[in-house]
Amino acid sequence: MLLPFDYVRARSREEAVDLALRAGADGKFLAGGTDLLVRMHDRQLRPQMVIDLKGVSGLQGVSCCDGEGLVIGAATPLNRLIRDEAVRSKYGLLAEAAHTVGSLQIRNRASLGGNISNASPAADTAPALLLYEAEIVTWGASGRREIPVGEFFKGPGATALAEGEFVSQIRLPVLKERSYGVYLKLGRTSAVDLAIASVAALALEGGEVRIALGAVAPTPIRVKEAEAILRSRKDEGAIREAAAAARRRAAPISDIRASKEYRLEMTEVLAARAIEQALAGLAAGGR
Amino acid sequence: MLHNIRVRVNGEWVEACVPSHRRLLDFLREDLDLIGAKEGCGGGECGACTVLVNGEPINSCLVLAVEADGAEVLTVEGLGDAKDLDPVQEAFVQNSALQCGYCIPGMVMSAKALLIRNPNPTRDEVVEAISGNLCRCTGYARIVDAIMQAAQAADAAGPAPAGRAAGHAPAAEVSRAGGE
Ligand SMILES: Cc1cc2nc3c(=O)[nH]c(=O)nc-3n(C[C@H](O)[C@H](O)[C@H](O)COP(=O)(O)OP(=O)(O)OC[C@H]3O[C@@H](n4cnc5c(N)ncnc54)[C@H](O)[C@@H]3O)c2cc1C
Ligand code: FES
Ligand code: FES
Repeated sequence: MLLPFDYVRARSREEAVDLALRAGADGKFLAGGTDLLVRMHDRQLRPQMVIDLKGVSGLQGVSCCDGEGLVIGAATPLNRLIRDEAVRSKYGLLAEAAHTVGSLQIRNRASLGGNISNASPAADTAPALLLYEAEIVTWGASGRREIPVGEFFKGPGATALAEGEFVSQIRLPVLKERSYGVYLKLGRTSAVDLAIASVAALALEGGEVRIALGAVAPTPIRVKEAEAILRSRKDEGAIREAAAAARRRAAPISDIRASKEYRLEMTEVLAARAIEQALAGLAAGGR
Repeated sequence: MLHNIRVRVNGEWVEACVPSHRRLLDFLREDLDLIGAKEGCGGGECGACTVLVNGEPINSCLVLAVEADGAEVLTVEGLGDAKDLDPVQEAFVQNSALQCGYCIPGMVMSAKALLIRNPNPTRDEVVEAISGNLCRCTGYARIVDAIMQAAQAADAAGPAPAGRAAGHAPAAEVSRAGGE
């Protein structure tokens, strides 16, 4: 059972912003509901007004391409992304990361916009979005903004969104080079669990290797220090150094899922594995 | 706040007036007396509340009834009854794939969704398809056996739509991304 609230399905961006501004702290946006409704069920949140974004134009589906990269509607369920040919062929790391979220039932509802708006340090799609250098398109009282994903996350549960502002789209810039991405997620169980630690690595044909971490800092983070080590050298020693650099950037907490020490240890292990596998994948052809 | 909704439940259009906070699960169980879907956790973890919305399995504890306005909902009651079981249900009976039965309507609906999408799943694909459904008594081996058997019964999935579920490799403890 849920406590009573009012539900409105917004028909336009303007209406959504307007409703949210009027409701203030009592209002909550709704996409797939796989996070919001759980918190409402557990009485952690008691919004008076729930504003459904799923009917707002531009918030559903994936559009591609014409050298413009990919535009993903914020309310698009993860399973639609995972099954989308353009995502799979060019941005495979995002598809694979999305596939590790929850269960099939959860992924049929859970949206990409909801995954990042939650701003959980463990949000599984965040490391991939960091590595593809996504732009978060938002709508709010002052109109449209584009926020680089690296500036979107502000802390556990905190984002750059202003009051009444919502994510309308996620834009992935064109990747001209071939690439190969790997997402390694360590959970307590093989499905339906949040990450204890996760590492994404993206190897690009031009020689760059990008690395991001999840669940081991207040926000998902990209580790440029580790990337710099791999710019000129990609031998075993360099991979070890890069993994150690990733560990130094991590600042995890202890919680019911794992201790801080275990998270640090696993960050280094997973980083080395992810880099190795990404380089091997690229060498074998990439995408 | 009240909403007039129209939902096609097990093939029949139902019109109702529901408050905003009515979950699809409660709408089915309390208003329509379809008590197959169960509430285990109420939080998306157990899958006992699984029903199909527009052919896809979802947790009905995490969907508002008003969100289902205009949608097609299939519950276990829509599959078959004691006299005329769906091949999936039949296979569960034949394989003794149930004990207390609490999780079974959800399991059966997840299985049904899989077979609609993919009439010839591998064992791994079956495991993946039910990984959002917990069973605390039967053990999963018999349930997987039952679903594999149902797949073999040719008419199990009814008219199967084209295209297979993509990208559903079984999740491993450390799941890895990759591709060709
Ligand atoms: C059983 C279970 C397992 C889970 N497993 C995982 C997992 O493995 N990995 C993982 O990362 N997550 C997991 N989650 C969390 C959740 O499912 C995901 O974060 C999901 O992507 C959230 O998306 P949603 O559309 O359902 O969000 P909602 O619940 O609709 O919204 C989440 C939050 O974001 C806000 N919001 C939603 N959309 C927007 C928008 N467009 N603009 C601004 N704000 C918005 C809402 O107000 C709310 O505060 C799990 C949840 C459950 C219940
Ligand atoms: S009751 Fe819905 S998932 Fe447990
Ligand atoms: S048969 Fe009892 S929970 Fe599955």
